[in-house]
Amino acid sequence: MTLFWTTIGAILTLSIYSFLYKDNPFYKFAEHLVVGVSAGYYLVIYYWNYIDPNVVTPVFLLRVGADRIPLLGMDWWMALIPGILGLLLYMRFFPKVAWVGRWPLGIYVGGYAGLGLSPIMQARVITQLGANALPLAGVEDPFAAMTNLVLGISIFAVMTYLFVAKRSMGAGNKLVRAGVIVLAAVIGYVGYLALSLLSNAGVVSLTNILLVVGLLGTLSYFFFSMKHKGLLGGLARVGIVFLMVGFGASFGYTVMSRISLLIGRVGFLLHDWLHLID
Amino acid sequence: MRRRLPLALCFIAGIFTAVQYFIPHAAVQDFQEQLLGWLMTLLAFAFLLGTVSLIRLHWHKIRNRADDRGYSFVALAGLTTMIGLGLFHPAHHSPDSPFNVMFQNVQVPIEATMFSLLAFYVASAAFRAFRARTLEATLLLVAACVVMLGRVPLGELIHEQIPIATRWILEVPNLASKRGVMIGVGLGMMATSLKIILGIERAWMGGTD
Repeated sequence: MTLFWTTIGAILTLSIYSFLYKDNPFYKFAEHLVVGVSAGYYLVIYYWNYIDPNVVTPVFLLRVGADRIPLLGMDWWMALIPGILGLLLYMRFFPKVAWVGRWPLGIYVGGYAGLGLSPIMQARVITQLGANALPLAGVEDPFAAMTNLVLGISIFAVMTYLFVAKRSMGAGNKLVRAGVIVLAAVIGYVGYLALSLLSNAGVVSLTNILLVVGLLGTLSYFFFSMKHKGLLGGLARVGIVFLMVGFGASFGYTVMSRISLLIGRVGFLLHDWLHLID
Repeated sequence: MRRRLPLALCFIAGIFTAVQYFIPHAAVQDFQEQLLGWLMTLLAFAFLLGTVSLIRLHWHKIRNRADDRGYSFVALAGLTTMIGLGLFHPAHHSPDSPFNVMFQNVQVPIEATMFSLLAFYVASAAFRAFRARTLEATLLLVAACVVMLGRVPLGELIHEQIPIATRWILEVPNLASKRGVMIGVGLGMMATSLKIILGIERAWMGGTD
C-alpha cells in the first residue's frame, strides 16, 4: 500500500515538473486534481471545526431533551443565528435578493476589522517601535546613559525639525536652526562611535545606530505628506538603500527556500520511490 | 435595507469587537467569545460558497461540452472524493483514514512540487532582470548573492566570512527595513479597518444598488 501511494505521489510530482518543458495534459491533470482535492480538504476541515460544533450539533442534536447547550451556556436556538447568517450569504445566487447577502458580510467584515485593531497596533507598531528603541551604548555606563538621553532628545528635535517646524515656521526660525545643530551633533556622535569600531561595544553601538537609522529612513521613504527634498529627501534616500538590501536578502532567502523544497522533492523521487540513494 | 443596514451592522460589529478589549466584564467577554464563534462559522460558510462557485464553473464547462471538460471531471472527482471521505467515512478523524492518506499523498506532494517549481522561474527571472546598473540595483544584487551563498556550505568554502555577512545582512539592514515596512503596513491596516467600520470604505458591498 505504501509503494502504491508513493508511486502516485511520484507520478504527480513528475507531472508537475513536466511543465518545465511546456504546458501539457499531465500537468493540467495534476493541477485540476489538486484544485479539487484541496477545496474538498479545506471544506471538510471547516465543516468539522466550525459549522458542525457551532450550528449542526447544537441545533440538530443537543436540542432534543435539553434546553441549554452545556458547552457555551446558551439556548439551542442561538446556534441558529450563525447558521441563518451563513445561509444568507448564498442569496447572491438569486439576483433579486442578492443584496440580503450583505447583512452577514457586514457583520463579518466589521467584526474582523474591529477585532484586528488593537492586536495590529500592539504587534505591528508598538512592539516593532519598542524593539527598535535600542541603547546606543551599554546602559550600565553613566556616560553612556547620559549620551542615550541626549541622543533621544536629539532624535526628537530632528523629528520636530523634519515634520513640524520647517513647514510651519520657515527655514530661518531659531528652532529650525537648533534642529540643524542637534542633527550635526548626532552625525558627529555617530562618527565618534564609528571610530570606536575596534571594540565590541562600538560594533554593538554601530549596529543599533544602523537599525534606528534604517527604520527612520524606511519610514521617511514611505512618508508622502511632504516632498522628498532636503533632509527628508536624504533620509528617504538612506531608506532606499536599506530597502534594497532588505529586498535582496528576502529574494535570496526565498530562492534558497524554494531550492530546499526542490532538493526535498528530488530526494523523495530518488530515495523514497526509486531507492537509488541512501 | 440594501445599503444602510449592512453598513450599520458592520459599524456595530466593528465597534463592539474593537471596544471589548477594554471592557473585562464577564457578560461582554462571553458575548465576544460567542461572536467569535459566529464569525468563524461565517468564514466556513463563505468557504463553502467559494466551493459552490467552483462546482458551478466546472459544471458549466461539462454541460457546455468545453474542449477541456475532461479536466473539470478530474477537479470535481477530487472534490467529491475528499468530501465523501471526510464527511461520511466513519474513521475520518484518524490519521490513517483514507481522507488523510489522500491529503498526504496527493495534495502535499503536488503543492510542494509546485512551490519547488518556482525555484526555476525565480532564478530564470532574476538572471534576466538583475543588472547592476545603479547603486540600488547593485545593492540588491550583492545582498541577494551573499544571502544565497551564505545559506549553503559552498559559501563557507569560498570564504569563512560569507555566512557571518549573511547573518549580519539579515539581522541589521534587512531587519531595519522590514520593521519600517511592517510599521507602515500596520498603520495602513488600522486606517483601512477604521474606514471599513466607519463606512468610508464600502468596496466589500460590491455593486451600486
